[in-house]
Amino acid sequence: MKPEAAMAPEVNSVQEAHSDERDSSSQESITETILRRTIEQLDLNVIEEPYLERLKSLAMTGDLVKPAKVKQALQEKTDETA
Amino acid sequence: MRLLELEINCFRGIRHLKVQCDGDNLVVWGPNGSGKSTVVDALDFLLTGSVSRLTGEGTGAIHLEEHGPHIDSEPAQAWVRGLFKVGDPDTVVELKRCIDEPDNLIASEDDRQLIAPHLVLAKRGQHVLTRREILKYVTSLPSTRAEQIGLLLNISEVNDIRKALVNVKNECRREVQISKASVKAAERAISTTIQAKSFSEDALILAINKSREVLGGAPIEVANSSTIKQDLVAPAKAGAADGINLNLLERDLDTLASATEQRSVGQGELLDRELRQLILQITSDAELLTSLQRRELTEKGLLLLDESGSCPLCETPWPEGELRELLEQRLKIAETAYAYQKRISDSTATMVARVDTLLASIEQVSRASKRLKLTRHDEMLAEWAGRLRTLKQALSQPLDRYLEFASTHDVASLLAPEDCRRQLNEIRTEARKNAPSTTPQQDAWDILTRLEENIRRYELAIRDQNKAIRILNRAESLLATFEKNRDEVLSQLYDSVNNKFCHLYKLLHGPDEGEFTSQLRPEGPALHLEVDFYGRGLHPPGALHSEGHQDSMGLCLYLALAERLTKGVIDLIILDDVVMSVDADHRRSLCRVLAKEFPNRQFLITTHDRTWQSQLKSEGVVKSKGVVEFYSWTLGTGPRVNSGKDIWAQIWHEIDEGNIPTAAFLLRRGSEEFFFDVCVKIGAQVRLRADAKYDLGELMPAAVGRYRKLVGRAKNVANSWNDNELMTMLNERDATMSQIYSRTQAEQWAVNVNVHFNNWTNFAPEDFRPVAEAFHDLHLAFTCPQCKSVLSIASLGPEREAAVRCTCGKHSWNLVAKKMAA
Repeated sequence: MKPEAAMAPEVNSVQEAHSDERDSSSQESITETILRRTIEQLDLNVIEEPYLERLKSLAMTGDLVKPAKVKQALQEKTDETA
Repeated sequence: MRLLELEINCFRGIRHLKVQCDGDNLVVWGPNGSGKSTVVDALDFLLTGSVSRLTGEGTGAIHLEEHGPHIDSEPAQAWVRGLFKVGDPDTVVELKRCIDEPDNLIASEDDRQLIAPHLVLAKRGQHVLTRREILKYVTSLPSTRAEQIGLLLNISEVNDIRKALVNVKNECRREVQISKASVKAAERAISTTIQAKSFSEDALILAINKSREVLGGAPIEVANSSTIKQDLVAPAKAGAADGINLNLLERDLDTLASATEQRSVGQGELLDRELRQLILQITSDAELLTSLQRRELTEKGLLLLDESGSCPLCETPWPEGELRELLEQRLKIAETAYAYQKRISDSTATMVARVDTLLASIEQVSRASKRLKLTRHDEMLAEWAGRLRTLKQALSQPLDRYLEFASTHDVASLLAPEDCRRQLNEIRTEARKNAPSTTPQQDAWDILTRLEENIRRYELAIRDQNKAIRILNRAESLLATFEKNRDEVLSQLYDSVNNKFCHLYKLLHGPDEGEFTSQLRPEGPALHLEVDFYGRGLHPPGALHSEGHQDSMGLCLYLALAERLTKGVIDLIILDDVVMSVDADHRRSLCRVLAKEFPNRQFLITTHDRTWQSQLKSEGVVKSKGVVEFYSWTLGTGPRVNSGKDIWAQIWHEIDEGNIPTAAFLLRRGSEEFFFDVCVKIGAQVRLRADAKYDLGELMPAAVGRYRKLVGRAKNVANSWNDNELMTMLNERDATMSQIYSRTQAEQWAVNVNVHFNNWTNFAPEDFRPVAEAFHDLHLAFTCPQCKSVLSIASLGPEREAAVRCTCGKHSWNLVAKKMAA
C-alpha cells in the first residue's frame, strides 16, 4: 500500500452500495457523504445558523481537517454573543 | 485500464524483458529468486514512480535510485515502458518512466490526461496485493487493519477530519478550564476585598449592602457592577484627592504582610514540597502513571468485556476470567494513582488560591504606590506579580510542568521575595504620611468602588466562561454528529464489503465451510474482523483458522475491496505470490473464483508454484500464451524466459538458428509442463514425490500408458453401446498413438542425450528436428484438433469416471458401459 491519499470520488462512492440515494449524490465520495449527512443532522439549537454556514463552507473547501479554521468557525464574533 | 505490453530494461534483477499479454491475464512463474517480483516492481514503478517493496518499515537504507536499477546499470539505463488500454472507447496509451527521473512520466499530453485518474488509484496501491499485505488485512490489530483498509478506501481523510474535530474539542475544553480558573481568580479578588475566607454571592450581597447602608442606600438583591452604586451619592471627599483609601490600602498591606510572614511562607513551602513529592511519586512510577493515563480506558474495558473474555479493544482471546482479573488489578493501581492525583489537585488549588489572593493585593498596593509616586517599589511589585503568574501557569498543568518549574525556582522566594516586607513597610509609612484620613462613608464608597471593579472582572470572567462552554458544546455536538454519521456510512460500506468477502470465501471453501459467516465492524479507530469457525461462533481470523485459511481470507477481503474500489477504472489486479499457504484443492477453487467472479478483470499473477500455474491454465484463468516462465537467473543475464505463447514456434526457431541447447531445453521444459497437465487431467499416476518435481521420464510414460488404457476402456464401452463411429475413431487414435509413441521411443537415444543429459554439442539441426517433431506430434495426440484443449476425464463422483472429453465437445468418449440384461 502506498500512503499517499487522493480523492477519486467517482470511483469511491458509497452510493455503489446504496443505490436508493443515487439520485441526489451519485458522485459523492465516502468522505463527502459523511460530511453531507453531518451538516444535515447538526443540532441547530447548539450550532446555530451562522456557525452552520461557516462549517458548510469549510466542508466544501476541504478545510475541516484544519483545527484552527474549525475552531474559528465555532467561535462567536462580537455581534453573535448569545 | 488493462496492460497490453510491458518492457523492462536494466531494472532490479532483469536485464531486458518484453512481455505481451494483450489485456489478458498473465502468469509469471519461476523458482524463488528468478525475478518474478521484479515484474511487479517494474509495473508498480511505471504506474506510481516508486516501488512499494522499497519503501515503508524496515527499508530505511534502501533507495530507489541506488537499488532500483540493475546492479551493474546506471539509473538512466533503468526504465520501464508499458502499453495500456484505457477508457471507453478503448484507447491505447504508452507510458514510460526512468529511474533517474522517477517523477517524470513520459507520455503524450493526451495519454497523460487519459491515464491520470488511474494513476491516482495506483498511487494508493489499489492494484497490488502481496502476501505481506494479506496479513495486514487479516491478522493485524484492528487499528492497523482499519488504517490499511482506510488507505485502500481513501477514507484517511475521514480520520484526519475526526482528528481535527477531536483537537478542536480538546482545545475548547482546555479553554473552558482556563475560563473557569479566571472566574475563580475573580471570586478570590472579591473575597479578598470583603475579607471573606471563600466566595459566596450571599456574603458579597451582605458586604455591598453594609457599605450601602453607611452611605444611606437601600439594600440590593442582586450583585452586579452596574447596580452596586445605584442611587448612591459619593461622599464630599470621595476617593480623596490622590484616590487612595488608606484603610483599604492598609488592609491589602496587612494581607501581604501576613502572607509573607515566615509561618505563612513555611506553609507555602510545605505545600510545594508535598506537591513535588506527590508528582514525583506518580511520574517516577511508570506503572502508576500509565495506570492513571489509562484509568478511563480500563474502566471502559471492564464495561465492554463480554462472556467470551476476549479483549474488547484488540480482540485477542484470553483464558476465561484472566483479562477481567488483570483489568481489575490495573484499576486498583489506577485508583491509587487517582488518589494521588486528587491530592495533587487539592494542593494545587490551595496554592493557586494563595497566589490569587497575593496577586489581587499586589495589584492594589502597586496602584497606590504609583499614586504616591513611590517609584522605587514599582520594580519589586511588578517582578513579584510576574513571578507569581509563572507559578500559577506551572500549577495549571502540575504533572507536566510543576517539577521542572520547581527545580529552577525557589517557591519561598516567589511567595515572599527578598526585601519585600521592608519595602511594603516603606509603602505603609509613606501612605500614612501622605494619604488623607477617611470617613466611614468614604471607606464604604471606596469599598464599593473596588467591589464594582472586582464584580466587573467577575462578570467578564463569567461571560467568557459561558462563551467558552457554548463553543465547547458546539465542538462536542459537531464531533458527535460527525462520528455518528461516519459510523453509519462506514458500517454500510463495510457491510457490503463483508457480504462480498463472505460470498467469495464460501466459494473458495464451500465444501468445508458452507455456512461461513463474518463480521467487519468499525469501532472508533479500529476495524474488527470476526469470522465463523465451523459454526462455533465468531472469532478473530488468527484465533482458530489455519494460516492457509487466513491467506484465503486476506485474498477474499482484498478482492471484495477491489470490487468496490477500482471497478471500471483499474481492471488490472496484481497478485504477487499470494497463495503460499493455500493448499492445492483451494487453489483450484480460487482459480474458479477468479474466472467466475472477476471475468472482466485482468490478473497479473506471480507464483513459484507449478501446480498453481497449471491450475490457472487448466481452469481457464490464463491461456497458454499468457504463461511466462522465468528460469536460470544469473546476475549478468537476469532470468531466462520461456513464454508459453509460442513454445513450438520458439523451438523451431532455435533449431533453425542452430541453437540446439536452447531448443532442447525448451522442449524438455515445455514437455514436462505439458505432460504434467495431461497427467492431472486424465488421472495418470506417477510415483509421488515430496518436492513435486516430476521429470519428463516419469510424466510422459505415465500419460501415454493412461491414455492407452482409457482408449481401451472407451472402445469396450463403445462396443457395448454399438457406437461404431466412435469405435472407428478410437481405433484410429490408438493406432496413431502407437505410431507416434514408437517414433519417440525410436528417437529415445536422442531424447536421452539431448533432453536429459544435455549432451548436445555434436548435434546439428537435422539431427534434432526429428526428435522435436516426434514430441510435437505426441503433444497433438493428447489435444483436440478443434479447440486445442487437452483431453480430460469427466467424473460423476469419486471413482466414477464418466467420459474423456475436450472443452468444445468434439471429443466425448463414454466410459460407462451399457448394462446388459440379466
